[in-house]
Amino acid sequence: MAITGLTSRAIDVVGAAFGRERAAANLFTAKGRSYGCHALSLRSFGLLRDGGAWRKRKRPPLVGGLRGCAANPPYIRWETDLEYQVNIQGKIAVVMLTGDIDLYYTPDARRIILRCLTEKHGVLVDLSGVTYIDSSGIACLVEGYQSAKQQQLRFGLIGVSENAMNVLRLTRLDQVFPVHDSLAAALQNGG
Amino acid sequence: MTTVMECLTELRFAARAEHLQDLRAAVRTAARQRGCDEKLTEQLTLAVNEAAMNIIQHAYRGLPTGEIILEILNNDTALVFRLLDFAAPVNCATLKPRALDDIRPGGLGLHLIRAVMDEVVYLPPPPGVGNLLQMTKHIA
Repeated sequence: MAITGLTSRAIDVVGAAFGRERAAANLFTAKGRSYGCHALSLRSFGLLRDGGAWRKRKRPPLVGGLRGCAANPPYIRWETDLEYQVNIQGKIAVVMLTGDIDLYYTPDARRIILRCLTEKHGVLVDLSGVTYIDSSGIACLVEGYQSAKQQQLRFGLIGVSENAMNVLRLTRLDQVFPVHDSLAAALQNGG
Repeated sequence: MTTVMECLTELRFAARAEHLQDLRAAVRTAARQRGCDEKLTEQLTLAVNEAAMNIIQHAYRGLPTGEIILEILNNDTALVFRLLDFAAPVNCATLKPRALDDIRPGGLGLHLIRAVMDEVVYLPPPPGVGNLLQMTKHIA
């Protein structure tokens, strides 16, 4: 299986957890169950090291009456059906999100983006596969943008789908985020 | 003259984020049935979704046992979306969208609703209902 676009470090990190072959398969299956994702997000999705194998932490019970802002809904989820893929390109993490980025999936998207920034990767969010995004998804992008700015890391959007662009226009954030047509264009622009 | 409103859809669901996709499907179906183009359909879907999100996050404050009712009404000139909840009454005076040049996460939902809809009003709720939000989009 071709493992294009990954640094050997990324493969090694995942490989340590899964075995190299399984790591490669999981990285590119990316039908985002929590264990089918990039190593960067393994811990943040509640995976625990248990006798040499990763296992999922039990999902905690719902806790009522907690926080209620868009980027921090009042529940905690430890696994996700969000379809995503993280691909490391040098100092840049390309985060490809797919499907509806709504209040239900935003906490996962937020965790993935912020985790990449915590690891000191710049982030390019590929929205070409996003069929719907609401204000909670937009809030997660704004948070990533601001976090990247604070850390002097790169943050941008690529391949923004028409639906997502319409929402960005309505909120005038199309003038705030660096938006690129494609990954190649983004890497060429460099800024 | 009173215009007769036809009820296209009524949907009752738990006030939880995972049910928002059902709400969006209902809005899309009604808008397409009314002859809206894809862009308007998506905008209406966004606005109604944002209003429901506000109920989940702010009216019910994340309480997962809350319920929401969506009614979609139609007449010759407009599509009307009504969202009913059973939470404590909302103080309309406190509902203000943030300025768009204030770049920070959150606070965009109300702006999106007002940008898409022609009329947004809280109506006196029927007995037993906490809030009744009515959003109207005039359609030629």
